[in-house]
Amino acid sequence: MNNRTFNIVALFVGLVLAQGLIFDKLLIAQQYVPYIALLFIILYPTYLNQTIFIAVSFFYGLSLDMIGLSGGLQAGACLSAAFVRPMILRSVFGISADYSAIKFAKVSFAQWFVYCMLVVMMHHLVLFTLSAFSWDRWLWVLQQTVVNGFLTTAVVSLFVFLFVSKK
Amino acid sequence: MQQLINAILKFRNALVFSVLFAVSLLLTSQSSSYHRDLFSKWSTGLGSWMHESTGILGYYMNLAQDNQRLTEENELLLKELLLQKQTDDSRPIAYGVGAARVLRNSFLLDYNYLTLNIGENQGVYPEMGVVSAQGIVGVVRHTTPRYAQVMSLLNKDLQVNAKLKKSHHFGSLKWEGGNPSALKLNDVPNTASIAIGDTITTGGMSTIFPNGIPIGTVSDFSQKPLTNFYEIEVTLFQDMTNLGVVYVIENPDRNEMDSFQNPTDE
Repeated sequence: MNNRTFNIVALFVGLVLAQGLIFDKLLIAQQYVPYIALLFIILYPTYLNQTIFIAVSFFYGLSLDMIGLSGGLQAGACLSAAFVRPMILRSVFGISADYSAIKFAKVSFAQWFVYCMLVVMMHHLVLFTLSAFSWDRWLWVLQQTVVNGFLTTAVVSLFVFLFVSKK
Repeated sequence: MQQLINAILKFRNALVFSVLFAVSLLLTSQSSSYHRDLFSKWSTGLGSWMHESTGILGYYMNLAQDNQRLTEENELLLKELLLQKQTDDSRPIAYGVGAARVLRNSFLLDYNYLTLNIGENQGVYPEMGVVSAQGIVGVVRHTTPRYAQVMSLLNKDLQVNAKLKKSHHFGSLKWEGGNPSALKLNDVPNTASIAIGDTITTGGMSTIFPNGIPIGTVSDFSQKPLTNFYEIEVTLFQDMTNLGVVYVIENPDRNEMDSFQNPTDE
């Protein structure tokens, strides 16, 4: 196992455990949860095979579902976020940007923030839509997506500010 | 084949995403009773819609069989109805009923006829009554082994014994040409109480039509000058220009009754 693969596996396991054992219990205002686990999808190297990334994200979501007893909600949401990530990357970092050249530690904070927010919002929208599974609850879906989205983006940005960017 | 593989390779991300998303939906649907109920509701709705959509095809494919079944059902019901109309008789007549399809129907002439797709082979003979679900249609005039010619109600030669349903005053119903839905009821005495909208039914004074089969309603009436009778205009229930399935009525006692009655032209 090379260093890169080890990092990915460590991030996979570490974030699943952190989310399931710590952050899922941090209920803010009794209903909002920071989804720190999304760091895996956000930080996954952009130069690796996209198809494998989609499959890995599915199993990553499935692991979150297992630990959080949420059926297939996270699997569907992580999968969707991973599927649209190339489009988000293109729109935030420019269409001419070579993905393999993107080093998250070196991008501007504004770009980083927008990129994180788009991935997080996509994940949350699918997550809460699947959770509600009814058009009647669209307002709830919207509210949860926006509030949890900003909360998660803030936590993820803070995490990256503290750890990733100092590398 | 190569193109198919190329297409799969080109859209592999979307394919993998679709398959895995379906798996996650499946897992979600099994996760809680709330999702199970919702999925069940959705799948019921979707399944019903699909069955309904594809069912339209089956509906058209089965139309001929359904028509046949309904015709047979109507035959039975008409027999029952004819028996019920004679509840005051001590010995009701068990009329025979046979369904037939109208092959040809004229209504633009003064002397109109219909052709039916049944004949002597099916037990149809002259002087049998022909009715539809809406009322009387005519009387069988000629038959061949496979076909029957029916003198339409829209034939100036045909007169039918009819009565006012509410007062049992009898008259003679006849078409005088022109409007195919308007007939004249003559010979009703002016002592009868009559109003526009009153129902006219068969009188049952002959052996051709059973008593009480609806014919139409009174649309206009007037006193005939220098007589004691009304001249009544009747609007038919049955649209004589639009005939599909009709029923030939057989009175099993007709020969016996005719043997001592003067034959009347009904």
